[in-house]
Amino acid sequence: MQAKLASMAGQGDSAGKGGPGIVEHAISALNAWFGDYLSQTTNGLQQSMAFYRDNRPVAPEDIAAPPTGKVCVFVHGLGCNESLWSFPAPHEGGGYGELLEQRCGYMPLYLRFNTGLRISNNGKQLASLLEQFCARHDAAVTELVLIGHSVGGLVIRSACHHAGQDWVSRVRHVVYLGSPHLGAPLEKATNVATNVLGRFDTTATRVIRDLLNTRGAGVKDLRFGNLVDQDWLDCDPDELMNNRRVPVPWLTTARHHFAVGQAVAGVGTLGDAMVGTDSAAGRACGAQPGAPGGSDVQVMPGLNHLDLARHLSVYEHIEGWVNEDG
Amino acid sequence: MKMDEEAWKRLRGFKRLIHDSVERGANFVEKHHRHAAEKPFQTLESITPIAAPTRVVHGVHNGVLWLTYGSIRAINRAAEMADNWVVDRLESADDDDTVEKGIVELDADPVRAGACSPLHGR
Repeated sequence: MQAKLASMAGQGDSAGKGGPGIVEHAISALNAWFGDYLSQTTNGLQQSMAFYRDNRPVAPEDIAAPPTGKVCVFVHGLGCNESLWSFPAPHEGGGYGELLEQRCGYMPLYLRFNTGLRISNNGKQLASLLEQFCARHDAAVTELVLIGHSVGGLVIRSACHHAGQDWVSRVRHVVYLGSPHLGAPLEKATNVATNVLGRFDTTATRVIRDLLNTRGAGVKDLRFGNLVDQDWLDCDPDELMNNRRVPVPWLTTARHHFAVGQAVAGVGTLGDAMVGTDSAAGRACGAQPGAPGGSDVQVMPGLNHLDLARHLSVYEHIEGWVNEDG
Repeated sequence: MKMDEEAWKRLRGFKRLIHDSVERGANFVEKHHRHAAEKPFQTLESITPIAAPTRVVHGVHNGVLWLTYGSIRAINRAAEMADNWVVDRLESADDDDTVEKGIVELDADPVRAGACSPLHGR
Protein backbone atom coordinates (compact mmCIF):
# COMPACT_ATOMS: atom_id res chain seq x y z
CA MET A 1 0.00 0.00 0.00
CA GLN A 2 2.87 2.39 0.78
CA ALA A 3 4.12 2.29 -2.82
CA LYS A 4 0.66 3.22 -4.10
CA LEU A 5 0.35 5.99 -1.53
CA ALA A 6 3.83 7.22 -2.39
CA SER A 7 2.89 7.58 -6.05
CA MET A 8 -0.28 9.49 -5.11
CA ALA A 9 1.41 11.62 -2.47
CA GLY A 10 3.22 13.93 -4.88
CA GLN A 11 0.13 14.78 -6.88
CA GLY A 12 -1.38 17.41 -4.60
CA ASP A 13 -0.19 20.36 -2.64
CA SER A 14 -1.36 20.56 0.93
CA ALA A 15 -0.64 24.25 1.32
CA GLY A 16 -1.95 25.20 -2.07
CA LYS A 17 0.18 26.24 -5.05
CA GLY A 18 1.69 29.27 -3.35
CA GLY A 19 2.41 27.70 0.02
CA PRO A 20 4.01 29.46 2.96
CA GLY A 21 7.54 30.72 2.32
CA ILE A 22 10.43 31.63 4.58
CA VAL A 23 8.70 34.82 5.79
CA GLU A 24 5.62 32.85 6.90
CA HIS A 25 7.82 30.30 8.66
CA ALA A 26 9.66 33.07 10.50
CA ILE A 27 6.33 34.67 11.47
CA SER A 28 4.99 31.32 12.72
CA ALA A 29 8.07 30.85 14.90
CA LEU A 30 7.77 34.43 16.16
CA ASN A 31 4.11 33.79 17.04
CA ALA A 32 5.05 30.73 19.08
CA TRP A 33 7.45 32.64 21.31
CA PHE A 34 5.90 36.11 21.37
CA GLY A 35 2.32 35.28 20.42
CA ASP A 36 0.65 36.91 23.42
CA TYR A 37 2.73 40.10 23.02
CA LEU A 38 1.80 40.26 19.30
CA SER A 39 -1.85 39.78 20.22
CA GLN A 40 -1.87 42.35 23.04
CA THR A 41 -0.23 44.98 20.84
CA THR A 42 -2.40 44.06 17.80
CA ASN A 43 0.81 43.70 15.85
CA GLY A 44 0.44 43.03 12.13
CA LEU A 45 2.72 40.02 12.45
CA GLN A 46 0.16 38.14 14.51
CA GLN A 47 -1.20 35.05 12.77
CA SER A 48 -4.92 35.44 13.30
CA MET A 49 -6.78 32.15 13.27
CA ALA A 50 -8.23 31.30 9.85
CA PHE A 51 -8.44 28.54 7.31
CA TYR A 52 -5.73 29.01 4.70
CA ARG A 53 -5.53 28.14 1.04
CA ASP A 54 -2.70 29.20 -1.29
CA ASN A 55 -1.11 31.09 1.57
CA ARG A 56 -4.22 33.28 1.93
CA PRO A 57 -6.88 33.27 4.65
CA VAL A 58 -10.29 32.08 3.51
CA ALA A 59 -13.41 33.15 5.41
CA PRO A 60 -15.62 30.22 6.48
CA GLU A 61 -18.47 31.58 4.34
CA ASP A 62 -16.22 31.62 1.24
CA ILE A 63 -15.32 27.96 1.49
CA ALA A 64 -17.20 25.79 -0.98
CA ALA A 65 -19.54 23.15 0.38
CA PRO A 66 -17.88 19.74 0.64
CA PRO A 67 -19.09 17.62 -2.31
CA THR A 68 -19.26 14.45 -0.23
CA GLY A 69 -20.35 16.11 3.00
CA LYS A 70 -17.10 14.98 4.64
CA VAL A 71 -14.55 17.47 5.92
CA CYS A 72 -11.22 16.98 7.67
CA VAL A 73 -9.67 19.86 9.55
CA PHE A 74 -5.90 20.00 10.10
CA VAL A 75 -4.58 21.89 13.11
CA HIS A 76 -0.81 22.36 13.16
CA GLY A 77 1.56 22.38 16.12
CA LEU A 78 3.67 24.96 17.91
CA GLY A 79 5.50 27.44 15.70
CA CYS A 80 4.25 25.83 12.50
CA ASN A 81 1.77 26.60 9.75
CA GLU A 82 -0.14 24.52 7.22
CA SER A 83 3.08 23.59 5.36
CA LEU A 84 3.72 21.19 8.25
CA TRP A 85 1.32 18.77 6.54
CA SER A 86 3.34 18.53 3.29
CA PHE A 87 5.30 15.35 2.80
CA PRO A 88 9.06 15.86 2.62
CA ALA A 89 11.14 14.65 -0.34
CA PRO A 90 10.73 12.41 -2.30
CA HIS A 91 6.93 12.78 -1.98
CA GLU A 92 6.87 16.58 -1.88
CA GLY A 93 3.69 18.33 -2.84
CA GLY A 94 1.09 16.17 -1.13
CA GLY A 95 0.06 15.46 2.39
CA TYR A 96 -2.51 13.65 4.49
CA GLY A 97 -5.20 16.07 3.31
CA GLU A 98 -4.71 15.34 -0.39
CA LEU A 99 -4.63 11.60 0.19
CA LEU A 100 -7.75 11.69 2.35
CA GLU A 101 -9.47 13.76 -0.36
CA GLN A 102 -8.44 11.46 -3.22
CA ARG A 103 -8.98 8.17 -1.45
CA CYS A 104 -11.77 8.82 1.06
CA GLY A 105 -13.58 11.92 -0.22
CA TYR A 106 -12.73 14.24 2.70
CA MET A 107 -12.41 17.91 1.85
CA PRO A 108 -9.30 19.18 3.69
CA LEU A 109 -9.29 22.48 5.57
CA TYR A 110 -5.99 23.79 6.87
CA LEU A 111 -5.95 26.02 9.92
CA ARG A 112 -3.28 28.60 10.69
CA PHE A 113 -3.21 30.29 14.08
CA ASN A 114 -1.11 32.06 16.69
CA THR A 115 0.36 29.19 18.68
CA GLY A 116 1.72 31.52 21.36
CA LEU A 117 -1.78 32.29 22.63
CA ARG A 118 -3.42 30.32 25.41
CA ILE A 119 -4.70 26.94 24.23
CA SER A 120 -8.11 27.77 25.71
CA ASN A 121 -8.26 31.01 23.66
CA ASN A 122 -7.32 29.18 20.49
CA GLY A 123 -9.86 26.47 21.34
CA LYS A 124 -12.66 29.03 21.63
CA GLN A 125 -11.65 30.64 18.35
CA LEU A 126 -11.58 27.27 16.57
CA ALA A 127 -15.00 26.38 17.99
CA SER A 128 -16.38 29.67 16.68
CA LEU A 129 -14.75 29.19 13.25
CA LEU A 130 -16.18 25.68 12.87
CA GLU A 131 -19.56 26.93 14.06
CA GLN A 132 -19.55 29.57 11.31
CA PHE A 133 -18.45 27.04 8.69
CA CYS A 134 -21.12 24.50 9.66
CA ALA A 135 -23.80 27.19 9.93
CA ARG A 136 -22.93 28.37 6.41
CA HIS A 137 -23.16 24.90 4.88
CA ASP A 138 -25.50 23.32 7.41
CA ALA A 139 -26.81 20.08 5.85
CA ALA A 140 -23.90 19.92 3.39
CA VAL A 141 -21.51 19.01 6.21
CA THR A 142 -22.35 15.57 7.52
CA GLU A 143 -19.05 14.42 8.97
CA LEU A 144 -16.09 16.16 10.52
CA VAL A 145 -12.69 14.62 11.16
CA LEU A 146 -10.31 16.70 13.26
CA ILE A 147 -6.58 16.02 13.00
CA GLY A 148 -4.19 17.82 15.31
CA HIS A 149 -0.44 17.66 15.60
CA SER A 150 1.16 18.40 18.96
CA VAL A 151 -0.51 21.48 20.49
CA GLY A 152 -3.04 21.32 17.65
CA GLY A 153 -4.56 18.23 19.30
CA LEU A 154 -4.99 20.14 22.56
CA VAL A 155 -6.58 23.07 20.70
CA ILE A 156 -9.05 20.57 19.18
CA ARG A 157 -9.90 19.15 22.62
CA SER A 158 -10.37 22.65 23.98
CA ALA A 159 -12.56 23.61 20.99
CA CYS A 160 -14.76 20.52 21.48
CA HIS A 161 -15.10 21.43 25.16
CA HIS A 162 -16.10 25.03 24.39
CA ALA A 163 -18.36 24.17 21.48
CA GLY A 164 -22.13 24.29 21.24
CA GLN A 165 -23.95 21.21 20.04
CA ASP A 166 -24.18 22.01 16.36
CA TRP A 167 -20.80 21.34 14.81
CA VAL A 168 -19.48 19.12 17.55
CA SER A 169 -22.25 16.58 16.95
CA ARG A 170 -20.84 16.07 13.43
CA VAL A 171 -17.36 15.14 14.65
CA ARG A 172 -16.83 11.42 14.02
CA HIS A 173 -13.09 11.05 14.57
CA VAL A 174 -10.40 13.01 16.31
CA VAL A 175 -6.80 12.11 15.50
CA TYR A 176 -4.02 13.26 17.84
CA LEU A 177 -0.50 13.13 16.46
CA GLY A 178 1.97 13.44 19.30
CA SER A 179 -0.28 15.73 21.37
CA PRO A 180 0.94 16.27 24.96
CA HIS A 181 -2.28 15.48 26.87
CA LEU A 182 -0.34 15.23 30.13
CA GLY A 183 2.22 17.88 29.27
CA ALA A 184 5.54 18.10 27.50
CA PRO A 185 8.83 17.30 29.28
CA LEU A 186 10.76 20.12 27.59
CA GLU A 187 8.38 22.76 28.97
CA LYS A 188 8.49 21.11 32.41
CA ALA A 189 12.31 21.12 32.30
CA THR A 190 12.32 24.79 31.27
CA ASN A 191 9.98 25.64 34.15
CA VAL A 192 12.21 23.85 36.66
CA ALA A 193 15.35 25.39 35.16
CA THR A 194 14.00 28.96 35.32
CA ASN A 195 12.92 28.46 38.93
CA VAL A 196 16.31 27.04 39.88
CA LEU A 197 18.06 29.91 38.09
CA GLY A 198 15.84 32.35 39.98
CA ARG A 199 17.23 31.06 43.30
CA PHE A 200 20.70 32.37 42.44
CA ASP A 201 21.19 36.07 42.94
CA THR A 202 23.57 36.58 40.04
CA THR A 203 23.09 38.68 36.94
CA ALA A 204 23.90 35.85 34.52
CA THR A 205 21.28 33.47 35.99
CA ARG A 206 18.66 36.22 36.20
CA VAL A 207 19.25 37.23 32.57
CA ILE A 208 18.86 33.63 31.36
CA ARG A 209 15.76 33.13 33.54
CA ASP A 210 14.10 36.33 32.32
CA LEU A 211 14.85 35.55 28.68
CA LEU A 212 13.42 32.04 29.00
CA ASN A 213 10.33 33.38 30.76
CA THR A 214 9.47 35.57 27.78
CA ARG A 215 8.14 32.47 25.98
CA GLY A 216 4.49 32.61 24.98
CA ALA A 217 1.60 31.59 27.21
CA GLY A 218 0.74 28.87 24.70
CA VAL A 219 4.14 27.30 25.31
CA LYS A 220 3.63 27.48 29.08
CA ASP A 221 0.26 25.76 28.66
CA LEU A 222 2.19 22.74 27.38
CA ARG A 223 3.65 22.16 30.85
CA PHE A 224 0.58 20.17 31.89
CA GLY A 225 -1.56 20.38 28.76
CA ASN A 226 -3.93 23.14 29.90
CA LEU A 227 -7.23 23.16 28.01
CA VAL A 228 -9.50 25.65 29.77
CA ASP A 229 -9.20 29.10 31.36
CA GLN A 230 -9.53 27.75 34.90
CA ASP A 231 -6.21 25.92 34.42
CA TRP A 232 -4.24 29.16 34.35
CA LEU A 233 -6.43 32.03 35.58
CA ASP A 234 -5.23 33.96 38.65
CA CYS A 235 -1.91 32.21 38.95
CA ASP A 236 1.71 32.99 38.20
CA PRO A 237 2.50 31.41 34.82
CA ASP A 238 6.06 30.72 35.95
CA GLU A 239 5.35 29.10 39.32
CA LEU A 240 7.23 25.86 39.94
CA MET A 241 5.45 22.76 38.61
CA ASN A 242 2.02 23.48 39.99
CA ASN A 243 -0.52 21.44 38.09
CA ARG A 244 -3.83 23.30 38.33
CA ARG A 245 -5.61 21.45 35.54
CA VAL A 246 -9.28 20.79 36.03
CA PRO A 247 -10.49 17.48 34.56
CA VAL A 248 -11.89 17.99 31.07
CA PRO A 249 -14.01 15.16 29.72
CA TRP A 250 -13.29 13.73 26.28
CA LEU A 251 -15.82 14.23 23.52
CA THR A 252 -18.04 11.18 23.88
CA THR A 253 -19.69 11.30 20.46
CA ALA A 254 -16.44 10.84 18.52
CA ARG A 255 -13.78 8.16 18.28
CA HIS A 256 -10.33 9.20 19.47
CA HIS A 257 -7.15 7.97 17.82
CA PHE A 258 -3.60 8.55 18.99
CA ALA A 259 -0.39 8.28 17.01
CA VAL A 260 2.54 8.03 19.41
CA GLY A 261 6.05 8.55 18.05
CA GLN A 262 9.01 6.55 19.27
CA ALA A 263 12.10 8.47 18.18
CA VAL A 264 14.36 5.57 19.07
CA ALA A 265 12.63 2.35 18.11
CA GLY A 266 12.11 0.17 21.17
CA VAL A 267 12.83 2.95 23.69
CA GLY A 268 9.40 4.02 24.89
CA THR A 269 10.58 6.33 27.66
CA LEU A 270 11.93 8.89 25.16
CA GLY A 271 8.62 9.13 23.35
CA ASP A 272 8.94 11.06 20.11
CA ALA A 273 11.76 13.17 21.60
CA MET A 274 9.32 15.99 22.48
CA VAL A 275 6.30 14.26 24.02
CA GLY A 276 6.31 11.19 26.26
CA THR A 277 4.42 8.00 25.39
CA ASP A 278 1.80 8.21 28.16
CA SER A 279 1.15 11.86 27.41
CA ALA A 280 0.75 11.31 23.65
CA ALA A 281 -1.43 8.25 24.24
CA GLY A 282 -3.92 10.24 26.35
CA ARG A 283 -3.56 7.98 29.39
CA ALA A 284 -5.29 8.88 32.65
CA CYS A 285 -3.19 10.67 35.26
CA GLY A 286 -4.40 11.83 38.66
CA ALA A 287 -7.75 13.57 38.22
CA GLN A 288 -7.34 13.67 34.46
CA PRO A 289 -9.58 11.18 32.71
CA GLY A 290 -7.86 8.94 30.17
CA ALA A 291 -9.07 8.55 26.61
CA PRO A 292 -12.41 6.74 26.40
CA GLY A 293 -12.52 2.98 25.93
CA GLY A 294 -12.26 1.86 22.32
CA SER A 295 -9.75 4.57 21.43
CA ASP A 296 -6.90 3.52 19.19
CA VAL A 297 -3.31 4.04 20.26
CA GLN A 298 -0.71 3.37 17.61
CA VAL A 299 2.96 3.50 18.53
CA MET A 300 5.10 4.46 15.53
CA PRO A 301 8.66 3.17 16.01
CA GLY A 302 11.42 5.29 14.50
CA LEU A 303 9.24 8.38 14.04
CA ASN A 304 10.04 11.61 15.83
CA HIS A 305 7.63 14.40 16.75
CA LEU A 306 7.62 16.15 13.36
CA ASP A 307 7.51 12.90 11.37
CA LEU A 308 4.07 12.18 12.83
CA ALA A 309 2.58 15.00 10.74
CA ARG A 310 3.99 13.81 7.43
CA HIS A 311 4.75 10.17 7.11
CA LEU A 312 3.05 7.64 4.86
CA SER A 313 2.93 4.99 7.57
CA VAL A 314 1.02 7.39 9.85
CA TYR A 315 -1.32 8.21 6.99
CA GLU A 316 -2.12 4.50 6.53
CA HIS A 317 -3.36 4.36 10.13
CA ILE A 318 -5.35 7.57 9.76
CA GLU A 319 -7.08 6.19 6.69
CA GLY A 320 -7.83 2.96 8.51
CA TRP A 321 -9.26 4.85 11.48
CA VAL A 322 -11.54 7.16 9.51
CA ASN A 323 -12.78 4.26 7.37
CA GLU A 324 -13.40 1.84 10.18
CA ASP A 325 -17.05 2.67 10.64
CA GLY A 326 -17.83 3.87 7.15
CA MET B 1 7.04 47.59 -6.38
CA LYS B 2 3.39 47.16 -5.38
CA MET B 3 2.59 45.90 -1.92
CA ASP B 4 -0.77 44.53 -0.86
CA GLU B 5 -2.57 45.40 2.37
CA GLU B 6 -1.20 42.35 4.15
CA ALA B 7 2.37 43.26 3.24
CA TRP B 8 1.92 46.80 4.61
CA LYS B 9 0.38 45.39 7.77
CA ARG B 10 3.36 43.09 8.21
CA LEU B 11 5.84 45.87 7.51
CA ARG B 12 4.20 48.01 10.19
CA GLY B 13 4.14 45.01 12.53
CA PHE B 14 7.81 44.32 11.93
CA LYS B 15 8.69 47.97 12.46
CA ARG B 16 6.78 48.02 15.75
CA LEU B 17 8.43 44.79 16.82
CA ILE B 18 11.87 46.29 16.24
CA HIS B 19 11.08 49.44 18.24
CA ASP B 20 9.42 47.47 21.04
CA SER B 21 12.44 45.18 21.15
CA VAL B 22 14.79 48.15 21.50
CA GLU B 23 12.59 49.65 24.24
CA ARG B 24 12.16 46.42 26.16
CA GLY B 25 15.77 45.43 25.51
CA ALA B 26 16.97 48.75 26.97
CA ASN B 27 14.73 48.25 30.04
CA PHE B 28 15.95 44.68 30.42
CA VAL B 29 19.65 45.53 30.16
CA GLU B 30 19.24 48.57 32.45
CA LYS B 31 17.52 46.43 35.10
CA HIS B 32 20.26 43.82 35.06
CA HIS B 33 23.05 46.39 34.76
CA ARG B 34 21.69 48.13 37.84
CA HIS B 35 21.39 44.82 39.67
CA ALA B 36 24.96 43.83 38.76
CA ALA B 37 26.37 47.16 39.91
CA GLU B 38 24.40 47.21 43.13
CA LYS B 39 26.40 44.54 44.98
CA PRO B 40 29.90 46.07 44.77
CA PHE B 41 28.46 49.48 45.70
CA GLN B 42 26.67 48.00 48.71
CA THR B 43 29.87 46.25 49.82
CA LEU B 44 31.94 49.41 49.48
CA GLU B 45 29.28 51.52 51.18
CA SER B 46 29.44 49.21 54.19
CA ILE B 47 33.11 50.18 54.75
CA THR B 48 32.80 53.30 56.89
CA PRO B 49 35.91 55.26 55.77
CA ILE B 50 34.94 55.13 52.07
CA ALA B 51 31.15 55.04 52.47
CA ALA B 52 30.57 58.72 51.74
CA PRO B 53 32.61 58.99 48.50
CA THR B 54 31.20 55.61 47.36
CA ARG B 55 27.67 56.93 47.80
CA VAL B 56 28.60 59.88 45.59
CA VAL B 57 30.06 57.58 42.92
CA HIS B 58 26.99 55.36 43.26
CA GLY B 59 24.69 58.31 42.64
CA VAL B 60 26.73 59.46 39.64
CA HIS B 61 26.71 55.91 38.28
CA ASN B 62 22.92 55.63 38.60
CA GLY B 63 22.50 59.02 36.92
CA VAL B 64 24.72 58.01 34.02
CA LEU B 65 22.78 54.74 33.73
CA TRP B 66 19.49 56.60 33.61
CA LEU B 67 20.86 59.02 31.01
CA THR B 68 22.37 56.31 28.83
CA TYR B 69 19.37 54.00 28.69
CA GLY B 70 16.97 56.92 28.69
CA SER B 71 18.74 58.31 25.59
CA ILE B 72 18.41 54.96 23.86
CA ARG B 73 14.67 54.96 24.61
CA ALA B 74 14.26 58.57 23.50
CA ILE B 75 16.16 58.05 20.24
CA ASN B 76 14.16 54.88 19.62
CA ARG B 77 10.88 56.75 20.07
CA ALA B 78 12.02 59.56 17.78
CA ALA B 79 13.09 57.02 15.18
CA GLU B 80 9.70 55.32 15.48
CA MET B 81 7.88 58.59 14.85
CA ALA B 82 10.12 59.28 11.86
CA ASP B 83 9.67 55.91 10.26
CA ASN B 84 5.91 55.98 10.96
CA TRP B 85 5.85 59.19 8.92
CA VAL B 86 7.91 57.62 6.12
CA VAL B 87 5.78 54.46 5.99
CA ASP B 88 2.55 56.53 5.98
CA ARG B 89 3.84 58.52 2.99
CA LEU B 90 5.04 55.42 1.16
CA GLU B 91 1.75 53.64 1.73
CA SER B 92 -0.37 56.57 0.53
CA ALA B 93 1.93 56.98 -2.52
CA ASP B 94 1.47 53.28 -3.19
CA ASP B 95 -2.32 53.67 -2.92
CA ASP B 96 -2.34 56.73 -5.23
CA ASP B 97 -0.22 54.83 -7.72
CA THR B 98 -2.70 51.95 -7.63
CA VAL B 99 -5.64 54.30 -8.26
CA GLU B 100 -3.83 56.10 -11.11
CA LYS B 101 -2.83 52.81 -12.68
CA GLY B 102 -6.42 51.65 -12.45
CA ILE B 103 -7.63 54.80 -14.24
CA VAL B 104 -5.01 54.39 -16.99
CA GLU B 105 -6.02 50.76 -17.44
CA LEU B 106 -9.68 51.76 -17.57
CA ASP B 107 -8.94 54.40 -20.24
CA ALA B 108 -6.97 51.90 -22.26
CA ASP B 109 -9.90 49.47 -22.26
CA PRO B 110 -12.19 50.65 -25.10
CA VAL B 111 -15.22 48.79 -23.79
CA ARG B 112 -14.98 50.09 -20.23
CA ALA B 113 -13.85 53.55 -21.37
CA GLY B 114 -16.88 53.67 -23.66
CA ALA B 115 -19.12 52.67 -20.83
CA CYS B 116 -17.90 55.69 -18.88
CA SER B 117 -18.09 58.07 -21.84
CA PRO B 118 -20.92 60.58 -22.07
CA LEU B 119 -21.26 59.40 -25.69
CA HIS B 120 -22.03 55.94 -24.53
CA GLY B 121 -25.32 54.71 -25.87
CA ARG B 122 -25.39 56.89 -29.00
